[in-house]
Amino acid sequence: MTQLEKLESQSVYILREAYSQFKNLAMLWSIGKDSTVLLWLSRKAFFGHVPFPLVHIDTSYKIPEMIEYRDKLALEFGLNMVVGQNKQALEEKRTYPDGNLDRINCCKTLKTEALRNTLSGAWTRQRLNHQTRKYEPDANKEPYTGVIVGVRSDEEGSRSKERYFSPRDKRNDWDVGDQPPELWNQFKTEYAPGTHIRVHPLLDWTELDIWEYIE
Amino acid sequence: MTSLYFDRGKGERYRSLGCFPCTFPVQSTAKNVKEIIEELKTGKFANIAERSGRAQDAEDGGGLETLRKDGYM
Repeated sequence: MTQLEKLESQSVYILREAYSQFKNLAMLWSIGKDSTVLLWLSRKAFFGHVPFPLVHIDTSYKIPEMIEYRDKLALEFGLNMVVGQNKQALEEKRTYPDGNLDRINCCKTLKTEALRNTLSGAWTRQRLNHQTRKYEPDANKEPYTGVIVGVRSDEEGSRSKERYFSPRDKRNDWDVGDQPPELWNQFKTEYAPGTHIRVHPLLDWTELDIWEYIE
Repeated sequence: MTSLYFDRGKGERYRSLGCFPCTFPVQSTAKNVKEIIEELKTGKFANIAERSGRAQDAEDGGGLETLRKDGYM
């Protein structure tokens, strides 16, 4: 087995484990290379059909090609595509480009806050209608309890502290020092009511692995 | 894969994608996946973080960890 085959097989295993353990499972798709590889792996893990919704947090400031690519692939792969957005902040111009927030607080507002309320179902999610090719309010308001994310250990310091199955508390906060050990592929997938688990199948992949896999 | 990762004639490409006001490309002439792999193997970016073009990470001394503890992806 090559290194890439090992990584692929571990990621497929984690994806299937997550699917078997979580009733309300979703995957975050940022349209970047990592989560797009994750999408590809999910199709492989479930024989072409992705059995959970893909969630994109749209800040409205994404590079336009990203949104075009998102909708093109969603239609082509028949994805259950769900989009969340902090509409109120955008209407009130509480953003960095509007000059009213610094960059970090803009990320907090347009991404973290939007993510929290989209995952919990507190804010209406927009879902792609494959017939009309338009987004409409999603009737499903159930909180997602398992959330698959394409973060990698090597891309940035705090991400190297993640587990494959990393708990988040009721406020979506992450207590880095209090995470279960993961020995011999035994993963803790239980969670308290109102909390969720972040699932990271790409944790061991490097930037080079991602590009070699794409090739 | 979206073509934003490849040089489209301007001598630059994105190494990490985000919001356009806070995401900056790197200097690179890699036009396809093969050339990106070659470029990475040269060690050109060995001491430059993949997300170095993401301006929010540089704020606050450790912007991304602050954000991530609060639930950011």
